[in-house]
Amino acid sequence: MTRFDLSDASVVVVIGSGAGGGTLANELAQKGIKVVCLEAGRRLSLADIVNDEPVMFKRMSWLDPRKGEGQMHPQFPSWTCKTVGGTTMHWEGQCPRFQEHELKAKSTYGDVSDSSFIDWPVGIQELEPYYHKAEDKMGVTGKNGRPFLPGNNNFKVMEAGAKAVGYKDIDTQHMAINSVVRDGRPSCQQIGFCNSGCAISAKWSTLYTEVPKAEATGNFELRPESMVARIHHDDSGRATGVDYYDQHGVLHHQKARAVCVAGNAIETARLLLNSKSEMFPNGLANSSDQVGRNYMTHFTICVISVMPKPVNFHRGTQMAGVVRDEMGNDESRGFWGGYSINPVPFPPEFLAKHLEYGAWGEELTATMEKYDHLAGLMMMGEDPPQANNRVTLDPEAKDQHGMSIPVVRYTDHPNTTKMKSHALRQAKAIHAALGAEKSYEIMTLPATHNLGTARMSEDPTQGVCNQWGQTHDIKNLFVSDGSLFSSSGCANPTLTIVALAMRQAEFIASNLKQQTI
Amino acid sequence: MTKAGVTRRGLIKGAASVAIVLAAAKGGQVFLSSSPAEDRNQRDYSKGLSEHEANALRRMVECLFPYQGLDEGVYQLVVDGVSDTQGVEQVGQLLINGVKQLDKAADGSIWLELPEGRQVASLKAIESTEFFQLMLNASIHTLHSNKALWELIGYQGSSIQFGGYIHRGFNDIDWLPEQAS
Repeated sequence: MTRFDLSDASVVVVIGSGAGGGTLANELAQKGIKVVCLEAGRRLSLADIVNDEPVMFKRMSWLDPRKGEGQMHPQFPSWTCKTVGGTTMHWEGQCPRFQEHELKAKSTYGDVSDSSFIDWPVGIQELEPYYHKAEDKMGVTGKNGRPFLPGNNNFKVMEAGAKAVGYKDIDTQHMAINSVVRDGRPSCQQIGFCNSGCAISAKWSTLYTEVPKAEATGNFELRPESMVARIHHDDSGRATGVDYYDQHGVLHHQKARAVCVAGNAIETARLLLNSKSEMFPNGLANSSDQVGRNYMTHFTICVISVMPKPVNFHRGTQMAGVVRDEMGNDESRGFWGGYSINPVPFPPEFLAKHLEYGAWGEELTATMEKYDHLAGLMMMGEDPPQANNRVTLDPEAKDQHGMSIPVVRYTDHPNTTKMKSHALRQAKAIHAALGAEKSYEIMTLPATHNLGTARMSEDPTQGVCNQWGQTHDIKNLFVSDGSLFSSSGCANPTLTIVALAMRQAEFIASNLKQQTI
Repeated sequence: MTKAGVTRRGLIKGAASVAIVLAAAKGGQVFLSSSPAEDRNQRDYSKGLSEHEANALRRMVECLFPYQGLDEGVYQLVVDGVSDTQGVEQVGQLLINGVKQLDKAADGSIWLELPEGRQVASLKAIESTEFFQLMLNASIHTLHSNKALWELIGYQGSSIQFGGYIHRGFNDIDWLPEQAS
């Protein structure tokens, strides 16, 4: 087992082992670069993954204290993971690419009031080769000759209803879930607990892909249960290493040649802010005051309907499907930006709580009794950056290590409100076309996509990083997760995070070689 | 093709109640409610509930979720578990006072002996109380994580030990209009 000394200043420290951190760490290790990856959570084995939502929720989720404001749940603003693999343990596997215009959000949507839109400092041409590489890495279905997954009952309901209302662009989605045996992992067995961890490793997660591959190079050391508390820098402003707490609460200092932060958008911003110093009084790499700001999520709202005959929507891959017709930019609908429509199931306890908040008695019970007749749709749409949707540090509350806890403030932009109405109407029409007897709306779910809090920008006053994810202020400090996103598009973010990490790895490797960072 | 030879550890029972981050009993819009109710082998009135109180609470759960054909024993599980709820001060007293309040409003009768319509109406009248919300959250959690209920409503639970649904009807829907492939 490779081990590096705490005093080894030649290692690159990667903070976080998820889609960004896990991928970056492996890519660097493959290129001969020494990497120490510090992950806050524990390392699970496949045997630890069970088909039990409450058990896996406790086992994998980030449950350290956070606060939410605005529309966020006050104690649980976001459902992300604290485990090796990060949120790739919980994600559903959807891998759409960003659309060209979504990367040019400001140029496309124009001057949207109450938003802080900018264009990405990279375009689709630069990203395309890395999307291709990422899709091959993750085994994305429907790309490069890999077959699509078969559609389950819930997908077929969505497909039939969508066609009936006139939609055309429908399939089981580009998924990072093996449709054939590949990469030493089995194909999907339609188990139906994807977002509680894939117990057979058919769904791509860095836990059982990037991490073991990195370890096999001999250039990589993963330290689980290591919570980074501060990033240090020297008088010239270079990052020099990190402090972290181990599982016994003992503080260690790891020296570093370069530091890459991939804690997901809430923790990344929190760490940069908590690392403030005399030289960086507003937070590390925060001369722009943009760290924590421009926080974006995608709205995720659902329609659950009682259908006239059985569906059994719990059977099979949970979200292998998409209707793409509304994902483009068509302002004749009354809003800019787009949204996707996807199949989604829920287990009984969730429905009893969320179908209709506070409800009980005959009517709700009658619906629950028809559990095997339920069909479900989730709609997910573009979220504009707003300067005051942001992650800040709570002025008083601290976590178990004495670190200030993050506060996530978020409210919908008026455009989002309009898009949600449209999406609800369309989703209900899809189910109604097949004879739905009753439809419920689920409007409040914790954010699972967290973006934008250390965004890329051409102009260093408008963001935190350049097109390589290199912070404007500190040459050897990088951000490697969804915090980088300059806009959210309506694409699930993981594929883009992986593509950016692969591209960033090349940049870091060549600059380390040339000693330019 | 070979299935991955994964041994599945059983559901972890009796996990110590984890400190509750999400104050389920306060009735906020939490995503997941309180800790899993442990399987209990015996009814335990020693938590301070009399037989009358336990019966009334069980009947209350039946009114909250009147599932047709669900064994009374499943409703009893809710009552067995609710007095263990973490994070609620003086749970036992809250339950006792709640039953008292329902009986008081029964106008000379006791709540248990009212016709169903009036039982439901009495519950509606106390919907915003801490007692009601505690019982509702306990019912939501305990009933809907119960295997007998799952069987009744058609949720099949854990599937990996059966090889997933790939050969168990994941795409067997047969009533949709014909789709062009």
